[in-house]
Amino acid sequence: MQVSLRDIRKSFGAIEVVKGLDLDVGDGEFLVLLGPSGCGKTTALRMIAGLETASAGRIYLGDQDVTDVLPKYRDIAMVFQSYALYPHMTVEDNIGYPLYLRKVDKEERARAIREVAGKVDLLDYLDRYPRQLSGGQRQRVALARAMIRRPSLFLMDEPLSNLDAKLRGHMRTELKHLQNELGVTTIYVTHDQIEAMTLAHRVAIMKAGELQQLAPPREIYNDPANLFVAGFIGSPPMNFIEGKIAGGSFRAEGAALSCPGFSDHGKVVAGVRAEDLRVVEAGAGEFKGTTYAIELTGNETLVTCQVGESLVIVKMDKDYDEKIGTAVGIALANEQIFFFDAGSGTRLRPNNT
Amino acid sequence: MTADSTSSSPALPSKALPSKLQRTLFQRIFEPKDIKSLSPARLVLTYTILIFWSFVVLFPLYWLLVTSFKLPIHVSDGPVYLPFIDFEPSSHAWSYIFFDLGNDTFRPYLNSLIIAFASTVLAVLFGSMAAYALTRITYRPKIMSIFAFILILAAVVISTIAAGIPWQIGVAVGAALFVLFLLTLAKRFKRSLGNNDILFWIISQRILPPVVAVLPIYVMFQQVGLLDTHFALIIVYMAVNLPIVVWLMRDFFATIPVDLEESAELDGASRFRIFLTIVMPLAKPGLAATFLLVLILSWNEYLLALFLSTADAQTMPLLVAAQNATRGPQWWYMSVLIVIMILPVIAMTGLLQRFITRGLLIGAVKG
Repeated sequence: MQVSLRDIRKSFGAIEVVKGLDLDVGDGEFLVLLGPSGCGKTTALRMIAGLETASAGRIYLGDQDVTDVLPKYRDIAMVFQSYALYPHMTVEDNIGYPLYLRKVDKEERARAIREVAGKVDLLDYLDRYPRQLSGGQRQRVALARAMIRRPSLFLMDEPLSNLDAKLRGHMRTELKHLQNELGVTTIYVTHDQIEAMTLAHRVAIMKAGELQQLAPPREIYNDPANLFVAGFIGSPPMNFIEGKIAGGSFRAEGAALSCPGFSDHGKVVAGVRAEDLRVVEAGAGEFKGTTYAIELTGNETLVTCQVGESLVIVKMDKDYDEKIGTAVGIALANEQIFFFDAGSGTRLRPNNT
Repeated sequence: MTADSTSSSPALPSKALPSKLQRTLFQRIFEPKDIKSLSPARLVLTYTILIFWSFVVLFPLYWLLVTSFKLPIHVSDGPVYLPFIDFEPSSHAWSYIFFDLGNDTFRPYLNSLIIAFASTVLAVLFGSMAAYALTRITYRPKIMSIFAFILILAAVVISTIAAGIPWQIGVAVGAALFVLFLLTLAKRFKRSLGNNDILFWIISQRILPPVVAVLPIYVMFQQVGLLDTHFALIIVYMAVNLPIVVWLMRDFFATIPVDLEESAELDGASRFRIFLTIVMPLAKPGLAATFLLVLILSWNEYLLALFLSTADAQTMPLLVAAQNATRGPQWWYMSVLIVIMILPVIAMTGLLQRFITRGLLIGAVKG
């Protein structure tokens, strides 16, 4: 089922939290809405569900305009952050509730419940109440309840955020597998970039109610549309150095590198990821700095260097070591460097492309 | 009493806990301890106090019971307490109430059961619906619309009574005028009331003592010829108890997470079905407590029953009071009546108390 949002807006009183969202989600696609808290992603999801009415704009499911349709007629299943299990019903009744509402007869219902419960590994827990389950099991009950009636659209509102780190990783894998198996269009809201990168076919990054970039995860990472996206995605975050472009080269305190094709620009932010840099001996490389901190994380070493006013993080292999305070040079390992306008944050691109 | 009083003592060692973490004097004396950790002496003391207090609470019931087995002579002779020792028990009062009075006992008893239970069920049903709506739906009635409604209502009443216009025509014209007002002029007014104002208005109906309204109510039922019927008492009791139900149930509904209802909505449930299958089961403790309270209020109600019933719909409180009518207080008959009168309420309490438990919502939304 395709989902289309056309210039969706939502205001609470005088505050506009979603400012004209246009979005097309393809059939069977796994789309992740990613953004910091308060960016309007959950509100957007709730409008698709019908739990909030849009202040303006239209919402289409398939070719049907559902903007003013009640939630129960939209054929949507939603997994809530809180799971929203019915505490007075057993796991079996919780999972079967959507079918019970559709007056599916008892045997058929029991068969369907066993089928989805098997998929999420809950067969041994059907007689229990939600209060007798662990967080991960409750999460799976919520998933099973959403899957049982084979909706045309899944909505998930930070479904993994209440789980501990290990379980979250496991459920992420399960979720991706199940979505692929069922082939149901899914819109997933999260503020966790790892979840977004691993799960999504495409990621929609939002900030302050506006869509920043809509692209597959790899493209978001390799070709960020603006300063916000570049800074939001990636761990450790992208290094930013303020400077200016003049005569085909970028200059900042302690940095000088050529950037052919870019026209002159007054205030520029250069962005480069930690893994695209190498620490080299002093005097070599495009940047000069001094080591500020060296952190071994296991399979790699993060070297933080002071370059002018800013701190630049470089990812080196795990055997690298150096005294703090040593003067070093930093070289670009491959030509992966991005330039942004310092004021508006828009990406600057070379003229010839 | 406060935390500061202990920390200000100079004898405290320098490394004492911050005063916030220390038990205050008040807590040390009054905070209940686990019964298992009490010393034998304190255990004895605790149980002595508890048994004494149980005695104080239960003694009136005991006195009631023994009085129902006393002859008039035993009552007027001064206090006697122990059957077979102080006095010879007699079942004369019981046989008078059950055999001599017979139907005159059973009819009010049945009336009380019918009226109290029916009015309680209706009040709890409608009251919780209103309470649910007030917790989940935002209402914004415009002040001017309410004003216009009262004005039009007054005009209809006056024109019906003074000008002799048939009431059907008056109501129809009034309703049409009001709808017209809502569709046109009402849109120009901005000031409106909220849910809390509605709730206050509902509760304010109970602030007025019933004795103020009892005469108009009497005249009303006289006009429609419903005096001394079950229906009249059920309707009046329901109306009187509705505000209490709304007020109590609203707090219970407010504790139910909205997520559950939104989830059910997406699962395909209608609002009414959500109310019946999700909200009501989760509000069971509140429902049980409210039901009991309202039942007891209806069961004991005297003033309205006195005005609205004479014979056919007479209730138990009237019958009890009647034992004090012509021949002075008949304590022995009264005791029998009160004993049988408290039985249904005790039975309901026993039946419902297992619902009045906490923790029903565990597992709903916590991770």
